[in-house]
Amino acid sequence: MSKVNDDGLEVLKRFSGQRKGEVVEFMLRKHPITLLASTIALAVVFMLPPIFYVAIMPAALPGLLYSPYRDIFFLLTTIYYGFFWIIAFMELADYYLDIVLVTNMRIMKVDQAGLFNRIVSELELDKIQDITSHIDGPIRTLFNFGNLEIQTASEINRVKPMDIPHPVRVRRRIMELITAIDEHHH
Amino acid sequence: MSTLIYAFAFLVIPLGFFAFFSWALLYHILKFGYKKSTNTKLAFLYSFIMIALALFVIENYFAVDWSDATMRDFLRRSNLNNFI
Repeated sequence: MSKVNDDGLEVLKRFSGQRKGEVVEFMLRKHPITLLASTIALAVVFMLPPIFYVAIMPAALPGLLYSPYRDIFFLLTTIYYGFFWIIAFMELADYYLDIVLVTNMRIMKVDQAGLFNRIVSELELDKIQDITSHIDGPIRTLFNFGNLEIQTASEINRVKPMDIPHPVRVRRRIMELITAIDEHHH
Repeated sequence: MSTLIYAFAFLVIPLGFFAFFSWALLYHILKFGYKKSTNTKLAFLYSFIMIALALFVIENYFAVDWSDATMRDFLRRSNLNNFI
């Protein structure tokens, strides 16, 4: 269902609530490098039980290294890894479900802020006054990702794509779409 | 009585948490995911590992000797004096 367009941006062909004549131009996700911090944290959390058994337990609790006492630790470890797997997958689901969808009519932002916490905002392209791309800091500059700030007449705008790859290219493409709408109207 | 408490604390409650969060995660991925094949792959990967872990929890729970004597001995041996 999804492919990559000429700009190298991922495209989703159909979505629920699609209007007549509405064509998806591209779909954006956060840059994968944004997963790095949580991946490192999860790797540390994953390594804690082996470190505990190899380095801490023989010194601190030598009397509990043998059956039947160690069985209790094995049980606690499997429960621990069950929760680890849930949290790791929540991180992955959060990344997978957060998207910004740009069509020839509007921009939609889906933010899965957590389980049972889903924010969907949309913005008509003809309401946009200006767009700013913002690449802030050495990591964002190196990996070429950043934020888009979209200005509308409305005071509140919740469609703020964050940490998206190629923000300059995306800004230009959205401006082209807005120009096409303006030309169509005149 | 204490056996029932152990069963709740180390089997029923953890497995209940696993079941609830698994339902919530799979619901979100399968309902809100954008590509059917990716949704299915993610759901299968998640479920496979989660079921394996749940089975390990059940197996390890029944491997533990929950008798009062063992538990008392466990608490006596788990003081951290050696480490501190």
